[in-house]
Amino acid sequence: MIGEIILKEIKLKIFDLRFIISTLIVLLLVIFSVIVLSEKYQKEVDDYQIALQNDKEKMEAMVVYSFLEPNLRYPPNPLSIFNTGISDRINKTVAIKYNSVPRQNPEIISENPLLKIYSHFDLITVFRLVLSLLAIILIYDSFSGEKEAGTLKLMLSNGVKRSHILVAKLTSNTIILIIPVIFSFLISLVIITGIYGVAFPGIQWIRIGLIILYTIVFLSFFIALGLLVSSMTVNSSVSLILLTSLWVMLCVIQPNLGSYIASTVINMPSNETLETAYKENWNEFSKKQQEILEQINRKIPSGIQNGNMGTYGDEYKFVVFDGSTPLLMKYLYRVLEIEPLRHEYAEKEWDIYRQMYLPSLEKQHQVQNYIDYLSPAALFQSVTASIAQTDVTHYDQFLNSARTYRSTLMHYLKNDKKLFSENAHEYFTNLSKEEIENSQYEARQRANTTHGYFNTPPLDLSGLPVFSFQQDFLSGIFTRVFINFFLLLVYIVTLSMLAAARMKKYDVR
Amino acid sequence: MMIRMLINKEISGVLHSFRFQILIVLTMLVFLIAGLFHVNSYHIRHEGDNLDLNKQALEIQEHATSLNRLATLKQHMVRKAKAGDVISLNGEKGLPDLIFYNAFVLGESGYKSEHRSHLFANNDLSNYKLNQITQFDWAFIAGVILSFFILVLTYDAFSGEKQAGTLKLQCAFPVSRMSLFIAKYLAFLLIITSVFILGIILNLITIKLASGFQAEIPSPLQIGGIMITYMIYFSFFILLGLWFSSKAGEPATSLAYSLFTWLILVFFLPSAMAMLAEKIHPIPSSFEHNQQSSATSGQVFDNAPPKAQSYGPPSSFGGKVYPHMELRKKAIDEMTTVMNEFNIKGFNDMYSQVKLGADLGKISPFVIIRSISERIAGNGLEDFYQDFNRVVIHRSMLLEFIEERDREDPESFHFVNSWHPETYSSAPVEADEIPIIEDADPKLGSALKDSVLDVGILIFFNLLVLVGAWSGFLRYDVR
Repeated sequence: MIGEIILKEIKLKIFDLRFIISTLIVLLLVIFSVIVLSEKYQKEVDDYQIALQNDKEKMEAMVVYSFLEPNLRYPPNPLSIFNTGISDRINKTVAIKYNSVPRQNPEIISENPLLKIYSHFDLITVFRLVLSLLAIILIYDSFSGEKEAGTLKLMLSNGVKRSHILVAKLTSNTIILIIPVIFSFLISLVIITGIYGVAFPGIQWIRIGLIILYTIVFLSFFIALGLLVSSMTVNSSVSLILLTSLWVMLCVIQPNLGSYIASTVINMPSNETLETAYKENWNEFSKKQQEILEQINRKIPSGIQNGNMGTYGDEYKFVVFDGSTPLLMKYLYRVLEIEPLRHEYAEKEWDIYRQMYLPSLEKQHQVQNYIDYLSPAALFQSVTASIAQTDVTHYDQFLNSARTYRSTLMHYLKNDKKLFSENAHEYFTNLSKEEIENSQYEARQRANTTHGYFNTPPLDLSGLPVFSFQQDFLSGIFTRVFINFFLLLVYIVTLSMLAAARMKKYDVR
Repeated sequence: MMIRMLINKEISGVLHSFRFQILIVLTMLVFLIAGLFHVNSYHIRHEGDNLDLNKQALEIQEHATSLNRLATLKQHMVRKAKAGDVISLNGEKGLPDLIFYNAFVLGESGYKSEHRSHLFANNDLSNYKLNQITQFDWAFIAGVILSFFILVLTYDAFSGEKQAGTLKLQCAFPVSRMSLFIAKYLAFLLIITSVFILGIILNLITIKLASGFQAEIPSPLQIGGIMITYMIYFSFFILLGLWFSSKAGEPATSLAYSLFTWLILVFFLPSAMAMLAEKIHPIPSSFEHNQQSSATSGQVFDNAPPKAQSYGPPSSFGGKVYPHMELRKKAIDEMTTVMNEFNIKGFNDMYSQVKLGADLGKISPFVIIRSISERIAGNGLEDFYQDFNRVVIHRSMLLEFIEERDREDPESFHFVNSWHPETYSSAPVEADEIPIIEDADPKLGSALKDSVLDVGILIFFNLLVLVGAWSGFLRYDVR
């Protein structure tokens, strides 16, 4: 019997002009969005490749270790076409520096920051708004309409169980909605892979499958909601008004509340406080540095300090291509005594960030997540972001592996390369240890054969640790997404139960 | 007379309907929440601005002890929180808060940033872990939520009456169709405008109360400007609703179509057009831009006479004058000019791209009303553009001031340039004589003048839907 009702419902609705036209509108919007988003992704990939190439060239031309500043780049993710997630507002390049530990950097790095005045936009947003509206338009009169037409009476008097009618309506409408969902995804995937040639590795297909599944679950929430409202109202126009108002609340207003409330309830330390703390930290360092410099000046052998040298940006990026012994010795002592101290203070700066700033970031995030549990649309957005790996957690993993890489690199430089002990000269010059102690700079100067940038060979960096971003495998998703997924199911079941309870009370007369 | 009666009937009909009661409760709720959130965010922004301004004033005072230090001090212009932010904040929130410059160059000088965006920064550290959200400003509440409610109110204006049979009755009486149409239109316009006014009042009261009468609110003139322009905006959606209502046979179908139209106009087009603009008006990437800029400015320097390219301290020449400094200063100045031109070009590239997106978006009335709101509120893209130009002017004023003071100093070598502070004056200056950036006073008149075209397009859209709605209604078969 259920089967028959389901078939009847599907036949009735699928050839409905309203449904067909709405589906066509949805598909048109999806096609347009996919094209625009794919173009954007393509550009991102191109920029990424160029950046990698530049990084490589920079590393190959590196003449001394003080210039070493590997850039780690957050790889572009094709699934960001589906859910942009966090990727629009993060710094995707992390520079590994001697004087700072990687963290999210508020510097504006987007190619055109002014474009941010437009709200972000991706396929999930289109689905969230358009398909949910379609769901409401499909379902609003499923009971109230039949009540008005008198067919509900007929069905009930023919001995059809009320619960069967409910289950049949839920199933049939979900099945009907699957059609635009599947078509949207199919068209998107055809455009993305066919026209733009984006290749998804195997595991990404599972992610796409999960996104499709979750989209369907999200839409069945609206079907359950529609059934409940429709069973509560006698008049289908009242049911329509109620549902559209609820839709505005759920899809347009509520998703914003989490972030709003979180940032209102929990205060973050101001930029100023943080910067003052950083400044104090580095002032302390400068004081110590000054003392050490004075000691060094007393230690170095007397003589003229001159040579071919330079600095590049930060003060620790110094190089001496060639020079007199006193000059070389001065820099050697600096590397031995000041640079390790600098690394220490970099760690201290990170501690300040971790203790003063990070907890309130986390707390705000948590509060937002709790509030978002109440909002199906926000859940939809965050769960699909988790599945697509464009969420905060994934980016934090990237930052974590960047920090791990930095400590591996520092460990390598300190203990394997002995860059701050025995081989300290390699930090700033290409000259050998013996030459530093007994430099022939003056002689070379007379012969006009001093070393400079152009006759200094680049470093051999083959032993350098390689960064690898350990991405979370699929299993990681389930633990993260499970609660949210489960919660949405609970909402759907609750709504259906309420609708069933209403149905029971329905008086056939 | 007849029209007045009809209007009265319509109004009381709407006021007593269930849907109107839901809508008014929801609207008021949103205005209330918006007021509460505004107080908090305004407070945070306002405090941040003050901290920034104080810090800058202190730095200027410190550096005023010597002219050459002052010249190379990195200054920033702070884009302050404004009373108008309650009108429209969504555009403003996306824009940077600080614009950097010193007396010689725009942006941050030096190697520090490889990015074109080194011109700007944000002064508030927003939490990257939080969702990006829509600000509940008036432009959003009225532009998105109220327009939605208008469609929900009007979708069965004709088709509903047809179903109920009342339309037949009315048409049977000696009432012209025109007056029937006008009555409906005016009734809806009156109701929605009153809801909007009520909402604004509630919003402003909330802000005043929640901030302990501290927060500034927009001036009556601004509010008046908003009222008039929003009435035109509401009118568009009323006519749109009436059009769909007169076209479709079944009320639900007319609602379905009008809601999809609304989705496209309000959500889809604004972002889609911005992305389209990015596509059809590509700008050189930061990398290309910087390469070009440094190559060109480098060439300028390389083309300078060889004497200009070497630099020695005065001591090696008997401490009299820097050798060939005149030539060198000229080369440095030319180079700085080229770099500034590139910085301005970089900014104009960014601006024109976004502007194109905004202009393309004007096929949607929502984008139009948003841009009008920003003009009236005195923030957003156009205001940012003007601020940038004010920074450009202030930079040259600053340089003029430095040069003038340098001429007065007898001990100076008088080579004001961006590279060698030792070649010009290091005499102290009075901190309060240094030219400062004046706050631009928002002029509502000029805001409205700039919005004339926007209002014109909005009226044109109104006429378009009016023709549709009117002809649809005339052809409406009452049987």
